[in-house]
Amino acid sequence: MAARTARTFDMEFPNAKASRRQSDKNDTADDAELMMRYASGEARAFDILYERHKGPLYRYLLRQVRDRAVADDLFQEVWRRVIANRKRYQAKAKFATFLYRIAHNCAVDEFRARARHREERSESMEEAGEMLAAPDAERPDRQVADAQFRAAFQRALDNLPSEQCTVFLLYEESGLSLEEIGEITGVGMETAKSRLRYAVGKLRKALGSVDDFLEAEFDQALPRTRRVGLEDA
Amino acid sequence: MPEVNEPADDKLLEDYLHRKSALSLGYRKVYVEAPPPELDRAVKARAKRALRWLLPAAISLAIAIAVLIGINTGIHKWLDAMVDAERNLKKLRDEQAAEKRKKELEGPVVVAIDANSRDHASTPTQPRTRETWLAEIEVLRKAGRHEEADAELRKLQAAFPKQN
Repeated sequence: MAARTARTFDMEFPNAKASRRQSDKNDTADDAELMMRYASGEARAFDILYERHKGPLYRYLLRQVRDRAVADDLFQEVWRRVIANRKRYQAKAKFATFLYRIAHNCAVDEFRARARHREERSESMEEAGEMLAAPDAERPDRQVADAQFRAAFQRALDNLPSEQCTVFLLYEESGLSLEEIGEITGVGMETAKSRLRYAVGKLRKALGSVDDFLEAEFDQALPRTRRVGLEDA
Repeated sequence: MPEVNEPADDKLLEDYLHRKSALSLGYRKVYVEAPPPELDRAVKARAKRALRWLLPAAISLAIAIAVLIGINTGIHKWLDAMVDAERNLKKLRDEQAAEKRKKELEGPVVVAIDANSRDHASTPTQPRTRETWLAEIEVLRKAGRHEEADAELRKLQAAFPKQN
């Protein structure tokens, strides 16, 4: 019945069917295909690609440089380079590798451009704790817990050697494999894995309360879910 | 108590690599920032601008190619026209030359037609050669107009005294 209705609708509105097909195609198109379509002049393909990657890329840069204004500039610079190099992109290369290689190079350039001191890092870390307020926190105690956890996480990230921090952030944000991360950072897969192993060990140790934090988080979520179920019933 | 820089054990690392560890969950829980909307707009606008000059460039290239083709075609047409004109001129000259030759050859016939006319000799349209003159005299004799033929012969002898 539903299928018949859809068919009838499609017969009556062929443009809507074509539009839906295009939308489905965009949803399932892989990054490489979208990039190629953008390079050949389709602006919409870029928008889809951008929406997919903007969040992880932004967070990666923000965690790396620990300064929102600088992260904003770098974010724009990365996309500027992506746009400028669209014709040189080859579909055989994974788009995320292409994107994060540019991002990594931008971050390295930034590190080289400014000599950061330990004190400055402490200041920016405190600022980061302030600026990274959770948007949807409902209760003041949760906000405090989140802010404390974020500050602790940021402190732990700051204390990682930069190459370990980079591998950890790339693994978290880019979705790339260790081999691809090694390719971006200019080391072999085993070295990347070793760096990640150390990073995870140190973070886990520094964030001893992570389990408590998450348990508290899930405890908060569970009664809410039950409440919703009861209200529905 | 283990050292802070102790690497993760295999189990911990495997859990982490499968994105099942509390560390990953915690990270994703607290880090949820996204670029501000003005950055979104700036980047998307840049992406569109990059394509916008691509279109005029393509159009300019197409126009340039069309103009070149047009010029090339125009030059060929002009050259063809020049060749045609040259050919026509040559043809016209050949026809004129043939006409002239034909007139020269048909001269005696004209005289023969005009042989009945009394004043044919007094109003020659073209200067006579000795041969054409002799041919005219011959035509007059064949027509039985001997007196006129004799008169023309005397004129001829006067005009070309040494050759007679």
